[in-house]
Amino acid sequence: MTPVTTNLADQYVQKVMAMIYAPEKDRARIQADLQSHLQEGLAGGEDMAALVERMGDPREVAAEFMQGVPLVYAGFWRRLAAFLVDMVVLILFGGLAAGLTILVANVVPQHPSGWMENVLGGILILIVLISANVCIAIIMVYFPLLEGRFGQTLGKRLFGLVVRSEDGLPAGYGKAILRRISFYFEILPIDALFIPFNPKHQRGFDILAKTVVVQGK
Amino acid sequence: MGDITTFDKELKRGTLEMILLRLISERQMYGYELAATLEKRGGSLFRIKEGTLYPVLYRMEKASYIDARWETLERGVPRKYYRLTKTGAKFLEARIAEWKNFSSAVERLLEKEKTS
Repeated sequence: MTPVTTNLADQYVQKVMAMIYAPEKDRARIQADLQSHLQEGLAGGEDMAALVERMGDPREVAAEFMQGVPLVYAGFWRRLAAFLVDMVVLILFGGLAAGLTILVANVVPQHPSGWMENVLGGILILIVLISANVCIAIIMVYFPLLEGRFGQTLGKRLFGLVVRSEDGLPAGYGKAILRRISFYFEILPIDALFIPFNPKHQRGFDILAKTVVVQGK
Repeated sequence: MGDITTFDKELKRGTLEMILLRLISERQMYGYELAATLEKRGGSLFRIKEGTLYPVLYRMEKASYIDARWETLERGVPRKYYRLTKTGAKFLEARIAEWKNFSSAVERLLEKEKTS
């Protein structure tokens, strides 16, 4: 019973649990059962690496568990509310970067004389370029970064919404980007019209990305 | 260890619940023991990814075919034992009858017709 083997077991359980989205009660049961299974092998003197291998790929195992967890798909209004909050956040942070850009752009010396002013002007222009790009970047990556990493943006967090893959597993960056395409091309309002009219309340691009927005736990 | 084909997988998927219930009907068992018994008696064909055993058990528990309780034996790790319920026994009996019917029909179909 070296620490290494128990570590392997803990790591395995953690990997599976990281992909489970379920009420706390169900999560606790899954975790307890997996831990007990591995402990049993450990007590029987089994090679932990071999046992972990036999448990199956964490993703596959998590997917099997998720099949038994009913997902509650979020409806149009709640999602709209979350989206509006995200828009406020974007306007705030994007606006901050945009404001800084304009502010700095205005103090760039127009007719620099001497090396000091030239260097200062250069630095200021650099700041303008960076902050202008940060402004664009915020708008571009806000949704896919947060949804890909955490499954939720600030707005979604506020309204208890989470983006998941249709099979209940985390959506990941790829799917988070794919479902955001309609936003980039400014056809989100049309895309969102799909939501009330299909059982999983998916946008058109949710259907394409095989993602769903679920509500609460 | 023969290759496990898609056909095998489908057959296993269709019969696993029945087989697990049958094992649990013999005596109450815990998950680890079920996985080991499956392989011991069913061979490599019934070697399952052990983590995926639990979702199946949860399903059967939800359907009230089995119930579970934790027990800590002396000097042992806590184990969750599964026990067959009356509903489960009825369900198992029906499935076994169905399976026997089905498999004998398949056998009849696979046999060459005896020409008299």
